[in-house]
Amino acid sequence: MKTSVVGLLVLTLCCTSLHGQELPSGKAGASRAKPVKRLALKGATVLTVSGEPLTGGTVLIEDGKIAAVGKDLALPEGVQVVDLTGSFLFPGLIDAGSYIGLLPSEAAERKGGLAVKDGLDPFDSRLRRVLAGGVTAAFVSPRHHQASTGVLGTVIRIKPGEKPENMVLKETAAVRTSIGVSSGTVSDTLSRWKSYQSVVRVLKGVKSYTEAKKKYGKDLEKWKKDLKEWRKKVGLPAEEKKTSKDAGPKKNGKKEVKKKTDKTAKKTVKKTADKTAKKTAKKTTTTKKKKVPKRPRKPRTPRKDPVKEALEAVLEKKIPLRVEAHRAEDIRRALNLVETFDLSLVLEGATEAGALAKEVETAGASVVAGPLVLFDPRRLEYANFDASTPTRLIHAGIPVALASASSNPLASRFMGLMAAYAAGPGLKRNQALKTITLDAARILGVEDRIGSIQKGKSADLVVADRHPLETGCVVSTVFIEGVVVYSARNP
Amino acid sequence: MKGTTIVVAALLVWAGIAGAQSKGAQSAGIQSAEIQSGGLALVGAKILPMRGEDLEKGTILIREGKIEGIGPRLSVPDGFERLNLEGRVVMPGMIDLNAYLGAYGELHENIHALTPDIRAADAFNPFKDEVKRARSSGVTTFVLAPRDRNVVGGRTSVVKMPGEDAIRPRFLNRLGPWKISLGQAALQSGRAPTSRAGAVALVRSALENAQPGDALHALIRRETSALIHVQTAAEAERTVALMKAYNLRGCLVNALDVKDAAASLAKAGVAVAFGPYSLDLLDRQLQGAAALAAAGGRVAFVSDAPRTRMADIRVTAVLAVHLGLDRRAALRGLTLTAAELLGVQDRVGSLEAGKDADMVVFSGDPLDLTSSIERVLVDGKTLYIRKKISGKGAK
Repeated sequence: MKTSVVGLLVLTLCCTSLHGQELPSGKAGASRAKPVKRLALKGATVLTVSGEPLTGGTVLIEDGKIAAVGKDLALPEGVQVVDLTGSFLFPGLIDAGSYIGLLPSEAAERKGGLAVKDGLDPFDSRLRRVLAGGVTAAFVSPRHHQASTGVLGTVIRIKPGEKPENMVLKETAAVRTSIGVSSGTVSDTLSRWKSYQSVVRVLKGVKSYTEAKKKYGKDLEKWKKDLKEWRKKVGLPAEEKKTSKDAGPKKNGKKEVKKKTDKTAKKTVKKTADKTAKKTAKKTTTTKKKKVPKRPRKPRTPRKDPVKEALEAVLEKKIPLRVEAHRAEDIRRALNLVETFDLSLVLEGATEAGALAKEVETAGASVVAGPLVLFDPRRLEYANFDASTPTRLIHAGIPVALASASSNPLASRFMGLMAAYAAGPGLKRNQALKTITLDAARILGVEDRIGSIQKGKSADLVVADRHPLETGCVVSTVFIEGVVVYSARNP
Repeated sequence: MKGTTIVVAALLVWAGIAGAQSKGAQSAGIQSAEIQSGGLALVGAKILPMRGEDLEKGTILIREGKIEGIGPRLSVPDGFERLNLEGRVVMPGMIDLNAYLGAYGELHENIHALTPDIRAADAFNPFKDEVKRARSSGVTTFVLAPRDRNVVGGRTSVVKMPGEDAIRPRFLNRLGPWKISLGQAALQSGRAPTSRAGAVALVRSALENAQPGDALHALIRRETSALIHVQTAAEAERTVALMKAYNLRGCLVNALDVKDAAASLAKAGVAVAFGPYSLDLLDRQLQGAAALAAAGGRVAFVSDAPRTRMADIRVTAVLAVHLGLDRRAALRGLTLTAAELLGVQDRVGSLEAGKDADMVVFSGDPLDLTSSIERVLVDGKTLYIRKKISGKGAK
């Protein structure tokens, strides 16, 4: 009785949001409350990002997706309408590089091919603060992206309390590595060059890994053929029967009888097989004086390596290689990889990329910049930090996204302010907003689902009292797939 | 024929750009515009003078490094260079209450906890790259302070941001406030104190035993003030008690987590210079400034540069505003409040006739991060001009 009362209380609390209107709530769940399939958000200044902002626009949500966006939208009958006049509505913001939700031990993991979802902590209380900053998705990977291995990165949605599997938006979104990143204040030219060489080695290693896999496939086919011929030669039936070792049950008292019959069966099979083999062998030895042909050996299965599997996707240009590089010469080395391996490159950090904008553009690379504020500038990488780098790159036509690059998820909640700072040296607001929405989604390869308010995309939306780049922007409600996952009334 | 016209046109345009650039370079460098003319007039900008009402559109006249006049309808005298700042916002140069710029590794003693004879000015190297980079930060006056690792760290200096001509750094106050530290940083193994109680005891005995003529004596006699590094609310409360007991003047610096002490700090009239913030602080920590201002206390800011970029002092203030600090309190905290806490409010901190011509030109609201610093003036001289970025999508 007591628990049900508490449950009811939670339910009602979750549902009262947005001027007290009932909305589909994440905690209410599909099983308890009937989910509202259609919802119209009306009257807000809609920052579509893909197009011009709509003042007094309407967004129609159907089954978690954006069904229509417009100014004078004809709404279907019976649709629940939420009046957002005076508010701003924008797509959920994206942190293009973070360790959100990873426990410290997971973020610091040096081993390569770990699945991010296995290290996520959906119950990290800080996730709600990230939502309060209007951020609904993030690229997550372990912190140590040693050049010698590379680590896997995943795009997740911020869904506190959910199963990690349900948070994953794109499991293998990129492989991360680095060139010339110092361990603080010490770095020498040789070790930086070495780090580039080890990236090259790893990528070459992938080529031989793929070749080894192909060779194994061929070898396997050949072996099957050889085996058939051998069986023919020694007079065995063409198809190998399943032995009891493969099919039989485990040692168990109850199945003693079956085991016995299996044993006898096995014996007979073996006997007959041996006999025939011996006979034929005798024949061959007596007549042609030749030895029994050896049974062909099965080729060894190559060891599966998750990082190399992902790097295969990189070399097939299915996902990008993300390389952290800050100094001009390291950035150039990273750009070399595009030519050498024909891959799509995302530069991380890219502190000195402003001067190389043309080269970056020619290589077709994108940039994940950040953090732009309140970092420790004493690191060698930031010696030539220039706040105008994102502006310069964007003006050169290079897609740029921003990253908190912090080991603390709380840093992600200021993505809006970071984008504002990026805009300072000469970007229009909407251009700067793209660095934490649409262009971030493009760079992460999830632009078909998130990043703008467009028909067909997922209804990952944020309601706030002002433009997300403005100081003092307070988020009131966050939707993910049309469901309220955060409400300022009960944070 | 057509081809030559285009070439000529291109040449003309190029010449125009080159001319404009050389002009910009000149005023950015050692020479100030006022040497060539009688003075400099900033015309048409929104002015936030920090004392009195904001001017939606005003003029500032600068001559010989001082503000000669400021007002909504001032006529520009003959011989003044006219700088059109329509659409821009001008505020006084920012003041940083705690920085280690140009002296970072030189401002603490590992052996002794009490180093009252240290003078931060002795460690200052104005030619360091970090000092050059700080010219674009908008900070025009900063406190060069001994580090927080010594309980009594020594004397700070109040320094004007040096330009390229600063062979000798200009001090507003060569012997500024004392630097005292009651934070965790002052507690080190291998020497006393190793506890907060030990640190307080050490300060107490140093003050009680100070003889006339001793360095610390000026502090008890309230001739000078102290900048006291603390981090937690508990440290802040203890510091307030200490200041009361010995009748000390001063303010707290850094103060990472003092929201819980806001009421008692306001009541005691002890100001706090917050920062440098980082993006991963808890809401409670970022709300310290808002809580203190709401309780009636005074707020200022520090950068700890080069631990952060000095330009981040504005980001710290913006974060405080983002978490609820009154905008006016934040702007004054970056300027006039800081000047008052240093006792240099007759020279800097506000835009008034007779004061030093230290000011920052923003492209818009200084507390909106989409606006950026376009120009910095110290003593009427242009210290920094933002380079224009050209490109397809330029604003």
